[in-house]
Amino acid sequence: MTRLLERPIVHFGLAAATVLVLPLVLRSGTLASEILIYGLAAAACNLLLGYTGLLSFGQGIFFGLGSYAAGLILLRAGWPAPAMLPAVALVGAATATAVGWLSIRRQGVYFVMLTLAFSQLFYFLAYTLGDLTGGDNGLLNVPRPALGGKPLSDPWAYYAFVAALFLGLFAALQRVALSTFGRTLLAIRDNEARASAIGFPVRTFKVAAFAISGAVTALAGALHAMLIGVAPLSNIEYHTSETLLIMTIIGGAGNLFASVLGAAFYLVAGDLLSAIWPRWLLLLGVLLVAVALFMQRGLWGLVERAAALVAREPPPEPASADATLPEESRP
Amino acid sequence: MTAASKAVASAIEPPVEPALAADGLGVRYGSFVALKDITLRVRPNSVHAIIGPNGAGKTTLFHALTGRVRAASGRITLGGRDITRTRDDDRVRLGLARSFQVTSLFATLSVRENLRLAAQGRTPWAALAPWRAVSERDAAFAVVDALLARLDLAGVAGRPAGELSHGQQRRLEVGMAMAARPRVILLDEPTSGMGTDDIGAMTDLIRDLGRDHTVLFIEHNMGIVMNISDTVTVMRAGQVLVEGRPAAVRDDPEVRRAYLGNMITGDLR
Repeated sequence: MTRLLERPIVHFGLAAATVLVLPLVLRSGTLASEILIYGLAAAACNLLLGYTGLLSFGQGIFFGLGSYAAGLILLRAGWPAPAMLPAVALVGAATATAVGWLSIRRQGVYFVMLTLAFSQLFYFLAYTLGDLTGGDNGLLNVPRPALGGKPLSDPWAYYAFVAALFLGLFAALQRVALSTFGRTLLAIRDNEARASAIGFPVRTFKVAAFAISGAVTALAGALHAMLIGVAPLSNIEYHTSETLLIMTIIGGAGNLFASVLGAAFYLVAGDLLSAIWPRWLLLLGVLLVAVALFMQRGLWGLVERAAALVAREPPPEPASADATLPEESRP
Repeated sequence: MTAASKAVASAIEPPVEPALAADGLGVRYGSFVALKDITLRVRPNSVHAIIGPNGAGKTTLFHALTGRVRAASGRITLGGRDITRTRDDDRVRLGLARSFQVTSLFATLSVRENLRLAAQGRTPWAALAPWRAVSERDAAFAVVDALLARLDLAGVAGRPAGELSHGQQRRLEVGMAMAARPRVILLDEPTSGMGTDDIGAMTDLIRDLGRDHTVLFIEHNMGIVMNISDTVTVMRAGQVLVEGRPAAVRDDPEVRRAYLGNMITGDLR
């Protein structure tokens, strides 16, 4: 049973099951779409955090930029959504290449600080360029994609659109993680100096990881803008980067589906708790402390433990559990 | 060719192109001069040892030769080609690989994956393809399986490298350098921390490597050095003190007087 949980096809099956189950358990199509969108962005974040060992606070840049690019291309250029999405992915990849290329010149804390600095830079850029971005108000009236001439204004119709893209991109990310490229990223995460010593151009691999992560994150941002009809300033804020990192860490940095789990948990818990108590983020803080202290494999680690209990197998050893997080983020 | 006949040959023939050479090599860490004016010639298909007390600059020399630290002065050539400004990962492609004094593995990855990555390091750009899966029929696996057998690691091939015993990790450490199929292989204290049984096997392995590779190694165990080396270079305080055949170095009065006497830890076979 625990072996089964390591197989990528099972992870894809779980992602597909999530897509099918969300409409059954949630009343809001908007929340369900949000879970898939943030799940995608968190999985892209995980490619950097869990697979490459890069704790990037710059993911909000690509998410927000994706939102703006989608709005501008749809509104100003008047392109249809199928042409807009590849363009947004290119914008995300190009920006992530530039941000990544500059940030990976430093390691550890200084790398993190550089991504934070870029995050602030792009936020103020978006704030200042009000003519393009709408400044504080955001870029309004971003249209939904149309099918057969009719826009997908029904939340569940749009959900279906998001779900199809989500599954396609999730499978693509899995393919990346399993490729020779993804396996080299794991080597870089484990021991960067050795990866370089056996012949890998480490910087190129890191920048490529950034580019892929940036492209997928930007696509998620585009989907989000079409979901809420606005490309808001908050999407490019530092807070979005933080949210994506929290989702990734709560889910567990070990595999891509864990990030979807983390996003789902964060959004559903937020939805339920905020109705009861507006200061619910306080509870989230407590949970994050608990994850950092006691369950470093995140929610996915709990799933594994539960599976091991069911199968009456010993749980995975803590030595390998520790190593799923990169050096810098270990306590 | 035995070590002795090789030495005679080199005395009468014109000098062969060295497999690896350094000329006037210098390395600085800030204002500290770690290496000063090192000149080294490593003959092809020879086993060349570097000895010297701690702090002599042996590992720094390896760092400079493999490109981990930048040379402040001088020139490094690999098979006649100037590699002084070549990046460390590019030097692997040109046929230069190394192992580390402090074991440096991919701890959470399996032994087999460690070796596969090291074999792939020879063609790293092919690994950049994010859509290409790792095929079991990949040519790298032929190298990997041969190495697993040769290093007696086949039984632990699926275990994470971090869980191996010290001796196994040291063997894998050397195997990672071999997996790139280099022309010149640099081993930094391959026997460090090993038990007596393991040392014998490692000694045989290094001697074997000298047949189809060029081996440059750092070693503190004088028994190994004297028995399998064709050439020994003695370093002190960032400079080359003496270089020559093992017997000549052992009997060199300056080496003995300076410090080597109490450093001989192994017996001559």
